[in-house]
Amino acid sequence: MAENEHKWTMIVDLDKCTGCQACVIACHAENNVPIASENEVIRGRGQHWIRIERYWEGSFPEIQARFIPVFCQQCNNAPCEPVCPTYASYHSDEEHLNVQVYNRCVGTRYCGNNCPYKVRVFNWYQPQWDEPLNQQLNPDVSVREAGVMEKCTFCIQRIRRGVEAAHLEGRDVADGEVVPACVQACPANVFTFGDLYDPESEVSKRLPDQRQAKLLEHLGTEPAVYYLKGGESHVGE
Amino acid sequence: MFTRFAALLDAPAPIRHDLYATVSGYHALEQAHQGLFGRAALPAYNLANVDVIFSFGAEFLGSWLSPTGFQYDYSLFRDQTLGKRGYFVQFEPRMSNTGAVADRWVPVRPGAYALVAQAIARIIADESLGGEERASRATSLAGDVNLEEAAAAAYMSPEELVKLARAFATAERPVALPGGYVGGVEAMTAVQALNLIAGAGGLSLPVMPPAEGFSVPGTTSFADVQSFISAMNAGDVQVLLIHGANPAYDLPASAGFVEALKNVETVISFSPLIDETAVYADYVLPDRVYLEGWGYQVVNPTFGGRPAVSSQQPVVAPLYDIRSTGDVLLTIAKAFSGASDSMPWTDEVAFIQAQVAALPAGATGGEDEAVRWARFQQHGGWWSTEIPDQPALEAAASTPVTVPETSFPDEKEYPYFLNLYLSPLLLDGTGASIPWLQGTPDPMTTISWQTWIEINPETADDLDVKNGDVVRVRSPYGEIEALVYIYPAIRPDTVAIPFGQGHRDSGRYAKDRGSNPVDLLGVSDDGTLAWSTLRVKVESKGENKHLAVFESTVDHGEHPHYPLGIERAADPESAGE
Repeated sequence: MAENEHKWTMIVDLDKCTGCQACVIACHAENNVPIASENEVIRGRGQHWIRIERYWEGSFPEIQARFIPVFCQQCNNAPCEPVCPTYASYHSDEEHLNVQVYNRCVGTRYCGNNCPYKVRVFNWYQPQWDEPLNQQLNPDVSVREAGVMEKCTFCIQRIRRGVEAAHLEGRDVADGEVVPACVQACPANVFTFGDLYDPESEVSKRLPDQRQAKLLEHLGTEPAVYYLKGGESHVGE
Repeated sequence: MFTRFAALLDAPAPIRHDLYATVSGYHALEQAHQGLFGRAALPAYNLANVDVIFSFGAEFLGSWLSPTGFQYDYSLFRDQTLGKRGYFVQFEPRMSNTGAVADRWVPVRPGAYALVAQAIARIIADESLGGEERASRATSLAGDVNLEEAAAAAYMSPEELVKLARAFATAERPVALPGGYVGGVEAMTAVQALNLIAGAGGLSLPVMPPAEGFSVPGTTSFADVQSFISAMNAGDVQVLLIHGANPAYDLPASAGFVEALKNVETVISFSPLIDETAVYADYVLPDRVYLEGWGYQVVNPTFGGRPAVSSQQPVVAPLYDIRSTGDVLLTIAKAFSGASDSMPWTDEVAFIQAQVAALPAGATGGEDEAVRWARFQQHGGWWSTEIPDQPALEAAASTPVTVPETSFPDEKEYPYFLNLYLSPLLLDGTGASIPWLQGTPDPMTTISWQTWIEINPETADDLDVKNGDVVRVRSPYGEIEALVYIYPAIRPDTVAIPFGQGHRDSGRYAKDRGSNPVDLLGVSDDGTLAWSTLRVKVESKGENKHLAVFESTVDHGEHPHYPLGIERAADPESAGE
């Protein structure tokens, strides 16, 4: 392991997710993700870096719903990376993240096609923020243009800020200093984020967990996102 | 500030009306507590420290009381604070996002919440469940209930109902939550009686406020709104000030608010955007929006029993050269004698500073007023260091609770129960002007921007409708149009529609979008607002439109994938235009 190397990791506790969408809106706000209009949603061009998938189990009246927040899994063996002809999608060895270089992207959408999680979103249109909504744009994050693919970055701007601020003080970033927007916004503490290479981090302490699973793990993508399965209680039944 | 202003002018106290509080049942809940415990107050539930939750239509993780606080508590509930994962049962005819995370969802018939709650009390009494004390309290509080009827209303067998009653009675710290759907005061009382039987460990009625200046006015009933409209019609209202309310949008036409406005000489709206009520105003003095202005919010009820006041300060420069409503009132007050006593402040910031100075020492500390004020802003508010001991709740009366009869419109004319609910995003329509909320998928249907009607697949077959079909929904009071969304977690005899859309004004993102379910409401014969006791007729219009549904559309093709069998329009470019 190289010096200053981090393995940014997310744990998602499905037993706590209420599907409230606070993470979705926080992500839009932090990352300048445009809001798709009604017509764009109808045309299958809804644009979110994190989405809450809702699954039905059973049928009426014995029916239950399950919520799963899905976003870029920051795969260690990412199918999106080798198919990019312009190296816009590449692997950062320093952060162990899939990184998207917007000004390299020419919009082939190969990466989106190859992503089994369908978490990459394409800018079909030039994003617009009606006056005065442009004032809410986050100056730390580039606004992407039409023809560019984008996705969750684990809020890399927050990671960089945390790491660089710690570096200036001559130390490594401490656990809890970097908090992505979705993690910060979640009222039910569904997410835990941190550096798996730091043995004192909360993610290191919580893993392994007997409830843990990864999405489509059999594909060998080696995601950096661990899902803790939801539980069940049967009292008196 | 409005209360002080009204008192200074010797005017009637402000009417506090919004659809959200009505649908959440807050006034009925306060009145139920007056009867049960001798004190009208909203309840605080410590859900982090209970092991069984029976929620009767309370969407506490979506809209009811304090959903953000409850989500935090819910997280701890699942964290096995009491050494177990917790057991959560949600009773409701249509699965809400709160019901979605329940361990058991019980599709109770609309209007039968109190019946089922009292059946549980009856079983605890008859079978002496949960120890001597609980059984004894149940014996004194349980009314006469037909268990077969109650079980049928809950879509289950009597044996299953007994199992649920046993789960509640034998839990260490069970709690029951009554949402607005439960009904009036008697129905709320029937549910809260379960907390009395349990020992009320998870429920308290916090003593408010932390300081006199932060007192929270009580809720207003629909009857108060009606008598106010009568006063307007009688010409008794010369000047009407409207702030933070949009009655022209959220009161049904039959309430007659808009017509009554014609009898008011001067109507002044403080709405920051031109909403349905502001268009009738003689003057619009737009208040600053929350990102531009100063303010505070008393957490009511408390956060887990801890009194708290949140602070608000400008985070952006105001877009327009406007005064905050607080400053407008303080300026006008100067023209009246007596203002130097009751409204002596130079501006609203001085007013808030004075209230903060009167707060007792809190968790954020501060030796003197200046430091305390700085910390109030720095920490986002004030909260007490300790959770004060709450007086144990004891029944003011222990006579058996009666289950009220609920009457619905004629079943033959109107075959389906109507379950109207607050959108977790747009709530009662106050969020509709915000594009982030409009564009965010609804948690259960993933629909955005539109008004839809949720229909059980079996019922959809009967009606011969499919996703996206335009239907006319008719109640005894009015009709609206909505798009069909086939929803597997709703009773076949019930259809559900979210509040929120159907604005004729309220800004570019809300205007002329969807339908307003308030058009289906009316004033029933007994003078109450009929919103939870409605039946409707559903008729297909023979048209189909595309649902703006996010579900199953995340595959970036040139040809969008329409989920759930929706047929594509001949010209997809025109879809949804």
